[in-house]
Amino acid sequence: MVPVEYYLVLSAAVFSIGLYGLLTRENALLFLMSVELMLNAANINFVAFSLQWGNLTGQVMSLFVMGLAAAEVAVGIGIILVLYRNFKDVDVTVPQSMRW
Amino acid sequence: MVGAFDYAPAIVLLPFLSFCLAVGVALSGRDLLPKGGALPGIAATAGSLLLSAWVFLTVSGGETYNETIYTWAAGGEATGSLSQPLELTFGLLLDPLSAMMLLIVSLVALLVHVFSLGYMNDEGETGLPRYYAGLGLFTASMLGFVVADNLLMAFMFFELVGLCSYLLIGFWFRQAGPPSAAKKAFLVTRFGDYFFLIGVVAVFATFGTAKFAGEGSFPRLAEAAIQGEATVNTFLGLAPTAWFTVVGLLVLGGVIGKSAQFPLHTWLPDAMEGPTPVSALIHAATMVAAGVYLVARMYGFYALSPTAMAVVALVGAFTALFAATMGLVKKEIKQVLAYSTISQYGYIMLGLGAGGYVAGTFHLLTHAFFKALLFLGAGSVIIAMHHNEDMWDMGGLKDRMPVTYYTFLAGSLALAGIVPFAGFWSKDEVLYEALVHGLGTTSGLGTALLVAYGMGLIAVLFTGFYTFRMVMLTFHGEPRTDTAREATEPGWNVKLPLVVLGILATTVGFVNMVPVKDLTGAEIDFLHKWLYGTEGAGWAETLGTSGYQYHHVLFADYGAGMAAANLPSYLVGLLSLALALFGAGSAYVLYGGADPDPYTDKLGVVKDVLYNNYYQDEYQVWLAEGVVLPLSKAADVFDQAVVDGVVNGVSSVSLFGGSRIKRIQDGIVTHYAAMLTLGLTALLVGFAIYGGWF
Amino acid sequence: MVSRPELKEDTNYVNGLAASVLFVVLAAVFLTASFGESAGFPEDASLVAGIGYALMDLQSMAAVSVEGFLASFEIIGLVLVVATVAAVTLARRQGDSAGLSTALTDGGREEPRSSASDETEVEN
Repeated sequence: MVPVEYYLVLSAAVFSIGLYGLLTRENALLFLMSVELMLNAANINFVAFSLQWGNLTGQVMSLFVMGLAAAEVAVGIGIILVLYRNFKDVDVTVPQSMRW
Repeated sequence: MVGAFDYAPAIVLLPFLSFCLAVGVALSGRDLLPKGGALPGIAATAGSLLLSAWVFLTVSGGETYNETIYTWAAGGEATGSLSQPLELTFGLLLDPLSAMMLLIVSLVALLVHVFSLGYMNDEGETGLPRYYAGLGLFTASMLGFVVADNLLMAFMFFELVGLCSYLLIGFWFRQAGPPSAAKKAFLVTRFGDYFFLIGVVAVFATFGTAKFAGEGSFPRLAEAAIQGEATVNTFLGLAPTAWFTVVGLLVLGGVIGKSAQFPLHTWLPDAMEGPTPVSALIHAATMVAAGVYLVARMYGFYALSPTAMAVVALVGAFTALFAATMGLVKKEIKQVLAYSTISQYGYIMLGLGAGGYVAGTFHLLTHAFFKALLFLGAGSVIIAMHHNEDMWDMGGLKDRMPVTYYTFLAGSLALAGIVPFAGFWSKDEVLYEALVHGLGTTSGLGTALLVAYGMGLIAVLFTGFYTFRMVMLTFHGEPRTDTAREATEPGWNVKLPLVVLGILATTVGFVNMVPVKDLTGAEIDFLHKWLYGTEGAGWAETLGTSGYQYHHVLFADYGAGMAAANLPSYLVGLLSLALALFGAGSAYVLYGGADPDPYTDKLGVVKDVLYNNYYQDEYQVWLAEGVVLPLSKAADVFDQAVVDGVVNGVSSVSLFGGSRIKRIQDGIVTHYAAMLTLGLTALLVGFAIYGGWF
Repeated sequence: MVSRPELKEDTNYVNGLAASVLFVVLAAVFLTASFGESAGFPEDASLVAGIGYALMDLQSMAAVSVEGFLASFEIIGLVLVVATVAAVTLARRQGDSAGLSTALTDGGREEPRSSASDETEVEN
């Protein structure tokens, strides 16, 4: 059986890739995709530990995470639409009015 | 059974109710009450008088009352060497002394309310609801002061009395004089009250209680502590007796301010700027009495300290003489009366300080009546003279104002101390007590009392002189102005109080004719018996506020250590009567003619000094401007530079830091995410190192 | 005017460094930790049926130990509805109070809209 450490490193890798995208890209749509990656990294963790402890709760949780991700994407797309409407762009560095 | 004591709080609350009513009307700005609010005030003070009389009768039946009514702050447990937890309370103490004082205050207040109908209403003054509100609050707070059962409550009502005095002196606030006089009265008495406040705190810190009477009252604790039977906190490393002297002198500060004793007497003559009924009520009969009443109230405490007694006696005697000399040369009738008030309160202090508890209280009683009478009489004259107070513009009013003249004469005879009017008996007893205790006591206190007696005796001469100078100038001779020629006597509401007080001023001295008792052996010293009670029984035993207790403490070695010489009181009385007659007679000779000359002008520079009150005001102003003002300025500089500097420095650091750090929040989402990431990483590394994960 | 979102090339690689550092830290932590032997699932247990039972609070019938999630299940359903409504609301044009236009069946003709509302949006 695959040791849980490998799943964790995989999950850390997926999470870091998502984070990398979040930090380097300036396109809001890419942001959404990166966030999906990070959520899925969390799912990998859930499933891995479900197997580790022999308990299905982790798997059920990962289902909920997927549901929440769907809701998040729905709202996120809506926000991007508003962003585009207001700035004629989907670059997240353009809106800077919420600052000191 | 419901007795007088159950209704005793109403004595205080009734005038307060009339105050609330008058304030409500004054705020409404409409003329809702007939007579501008005088009638509720008269009704309330009449009610207080009836209840006071009931209390008086109940007390004379041998019952007393000493209960806490309301505890408004209570400590958890006793601390230090105190035996009981600290409690701040309101309560009533009704013993012979307070019952007597209640009667005086409510009677004078009622008469002054009636008189005000003539002095204020009939003269068409405006702002009457405000005036009657002030009178009502004043009466209520004075009565509350009288029945207070502990020092803190007494202090609170003491301050209220001072506030009312301020409000009433400044009644005519649109003129220049009254507001300034009101401020002066307020500030000068406040200066004394500052010491009083420290004294109250000291009493609490020392004894853990401020109750005047009963078991565990502070005079009893003090007595027990000096005898080593109880422990109290003392401060500054002083032995109990010395520390009690300090506390007593601190409280005496408030007394000196309120009772207008030297050197804080300067406010009282200026306070004559207020309406004359106010002068009668506040500055003669009652408020000024608050100071000396306080000494009488805690007499068991003062009696423990020979030094405090000597200070009380010397301050009183010096004030009596000092004020009497200034009264010699004044032109205005109310000024003469003002200085005589200061002088007479000096006598009361002298009596109390000389161990004459009954004598001082007796003079307080008689003086309240004859001085109220004199002020009201002066008010009547002032109405007739259309508010001209200069005696040199009067003269010959005797025939036009007979009621005023005869009552005023009765008051003057009482003030001068001519037998058989009230003032003779009481003033004579004060001087007698000073002399016998001065001769009998061998310590320094005896010497001090003899000096005080000498000053008091000289003041008798001056008193007789200035009193009859005033009477002669005002009522005798030929009228010197048209106003005086056409003067007419005011109506019944002026005459009625005058007659009542005139009768009292003539007769009230008969309650304590000690010289007659010594001559004939008849038991007629009623006031003596009233204040002494029955030795070792009844209230004298439970409350510990009886003359027996005080006498015991005064003559004990641990107390003031007094002793009495054996002198017949009528001989001493004869001496002071002779001096008074000589003073009065010389005034009659000098000013009794049809058209008297201003003889005092012949005194030259002495007259100037006296007329300017020994330049007391000037030196106090110099103290304020030359000493206190630079000190305040220095303190202000310190405050501005150092205190504010530190505060501003701290805030400028915050401001500068904030203005720099806020730039992190630049509005770019990516930067926020990067900071979150770095923060998480740092946290993880920190945990890993701290928790030894690697 | 509808334009195609363009991928920007001027990416910020310095920020990306932070993500790499985080990965290194996480990997280091995970690889140095010890988790013990994996418990695993029974060979013949039906995991999918177990998940179904858990969602309906019938966990006692599941072959593998699990907790009940009926309440969470209902809540996530509600959240999805809310998110859908929120998305629609956000996507709606401000000031277009006439309501959501139904699917256009006009063959891709340009949508009629007022130029005035367009200008105010630009100002926003």
